[in-house]
Amino acid sequence: MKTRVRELREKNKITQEELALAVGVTRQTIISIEGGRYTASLVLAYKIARYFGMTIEEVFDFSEVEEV
Amino acid sequence: MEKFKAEIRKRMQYLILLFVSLLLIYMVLFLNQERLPRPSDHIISFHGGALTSLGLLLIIYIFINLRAIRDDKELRKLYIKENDERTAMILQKTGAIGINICILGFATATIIAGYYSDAVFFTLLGSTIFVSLVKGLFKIYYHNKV
Repeated sequence: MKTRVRELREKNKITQEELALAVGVTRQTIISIEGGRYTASLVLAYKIARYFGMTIEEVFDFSEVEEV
Repeated sequence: MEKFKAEIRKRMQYLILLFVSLLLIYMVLFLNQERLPRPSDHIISFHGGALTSLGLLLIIYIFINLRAIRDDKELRKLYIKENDERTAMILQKTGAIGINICILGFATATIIAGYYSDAVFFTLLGSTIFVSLVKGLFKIYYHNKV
């Protein structure tokens, strides 16, 4: 899934480690989310969005999610 | 975080109990080695290595937990490490895929062993059935739980 996590993190001058600690995950998880290899759970997506003061939709791109 | 700290304290007690039990088992085996049937040297070496490795792992694990109890920063790190959702997903996937490969491997080995040795055949058959049962029971448990 595409996200704006890296963009927002760099804009706010926050390291992956700092973001990881703030939302309660490991740095590897943030790396995977930024790389689009891992889709965050709803709770984690909410925590990340809240950290940047945004909504989930503003941080995570759901346009490629397939409808069943 | 206090709840997690309490959990770590409880875990420490179990780990220490396990370590003491391991030492007792080792001592009992060592002191009664003349009375026990003597396995081959390879098996004795394996037992020694396995017990020592388990003891060392327990010491390392006790040390990690002790450090977390004493230092709040380490406690938070440990909490994150143990509750990271990506790590949990990896563990679930490796467990699920791993057990299927094990069952398949055991089943293949069981068929091949049947041509050579009854003892090996039945041992492998027992293992295959046991692993399959464990998988099946966990599947039923989680289907009802979640």
